[in-house]
Amino acid sequence: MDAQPEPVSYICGDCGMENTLKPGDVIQCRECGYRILYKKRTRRIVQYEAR
Amino acid sequence: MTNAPQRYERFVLPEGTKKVSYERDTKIINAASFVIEREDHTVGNVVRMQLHRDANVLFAGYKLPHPLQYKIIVRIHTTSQSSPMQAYNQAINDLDKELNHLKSAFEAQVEMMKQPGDY
Amino acid sequence: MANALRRIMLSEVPTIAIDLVEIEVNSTVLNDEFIAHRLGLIPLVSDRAMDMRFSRDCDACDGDGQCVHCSVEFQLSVRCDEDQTVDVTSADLISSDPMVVPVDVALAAARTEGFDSAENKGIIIVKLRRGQELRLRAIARKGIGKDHAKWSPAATVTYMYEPDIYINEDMMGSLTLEEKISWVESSPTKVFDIDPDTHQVKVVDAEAYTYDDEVIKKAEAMGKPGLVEITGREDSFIFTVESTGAVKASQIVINAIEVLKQKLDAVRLSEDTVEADEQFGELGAHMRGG
Repeated sequence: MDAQPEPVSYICGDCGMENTLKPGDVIQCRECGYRILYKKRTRRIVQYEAR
Repeated sequence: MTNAPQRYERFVLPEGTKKVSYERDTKIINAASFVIEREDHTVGNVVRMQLHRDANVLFAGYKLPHPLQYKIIVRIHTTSQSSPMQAYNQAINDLDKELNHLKSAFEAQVEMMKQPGDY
Repeated sequence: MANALRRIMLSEVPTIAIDLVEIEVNSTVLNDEFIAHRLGLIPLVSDRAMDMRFSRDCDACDGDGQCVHCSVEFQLSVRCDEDQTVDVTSADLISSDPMVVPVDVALAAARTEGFDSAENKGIIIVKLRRGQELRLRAIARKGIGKDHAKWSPAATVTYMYEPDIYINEDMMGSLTLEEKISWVESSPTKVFDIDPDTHQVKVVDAEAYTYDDEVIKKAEAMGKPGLVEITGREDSFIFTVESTGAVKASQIVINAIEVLKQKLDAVRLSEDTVEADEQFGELGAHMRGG
């Protein structure tokens, strides 16, 4: 059995409201209806070479 | 990301490679080439200049064949009184002695000039 | 040898610099790689560098280069919770080794007395607005300028031949005081001066001469060619070394000599090369003899 896809939270490009979306959801802010949503930064540690 | 060679390729000797290889000239006696891996003008020129001070060295030169081939070739031709290998070893020994002298003289002078909080 | 030392000071004397950055939180205006790059360029006090190991040939830490023999760890955690912008500086970096700290921090600590601390706020990495945060771990490693310029201990290194200045005293004596003054002043740097009592032209600072030939041209223009002769001594050099602060300028020179010694030692012929040639030599003798 496939694991249930986790809902991902996004930030509205207009009002800054946090939105949780599942696959198949309409990409639209629940608060203001704005259609541009931004993905949040990973909580994982990211590694870079300092050069 | 790109096909540029890694920077460390310039000075890290790959495993299983000889730092210095020696190749005798097949036609001229007392002439030979030394291929020095992962070195450049820094060592090439200083060795060459030292070889020129040796009266038994008839010819000493070095070349960096290509900027992306990280090696130099030192060519030495000596009189019958010496041999390229002997001249090469002698040059390195003499340079080492000179550097020891320079280092101790410099350190003594620094000690004399020392002031607190210098940078 | 002078050029070899110059080249080594610029690109082969080792220092310590941040080489790996692990970012946990970064909500600043600068992106992760931008901050990582800025951290790498901060000069760190590198007196330990000569005795430290390169992480690539450190056997204590199987290749990840994060042990005490070859690395120094830094922590940085700053958050802004006020209306005023907060500067994240090199002073916010917390080192695991008190010997290895950013150079400006070491300098400020050395000059606690009579030193305006407001003047030295450290090297700015990024500025934070309210709510922004930067949290990371950085690994500093030993390296050389050939690999990346951030490891270069020297800002500039130059050398020149020590000048040998010979004044033709007979000819100089034939000059009037006014002529002497105008000749002395023709040098763009203060090399010569006139004794106020005897009115004799003296060399006061030979090292200030920049090989500009101005005094020679002036002498010729005055109809006195050969008044002064200046040659460079080919066996004596004047070095100018400007440090980044990672290593003292005088120590850079000493380390450069040491590095050159090590390099020369590395290019000595190995035993097996010599042996192989001896065999070849005998073989050659046989061939020639037979």
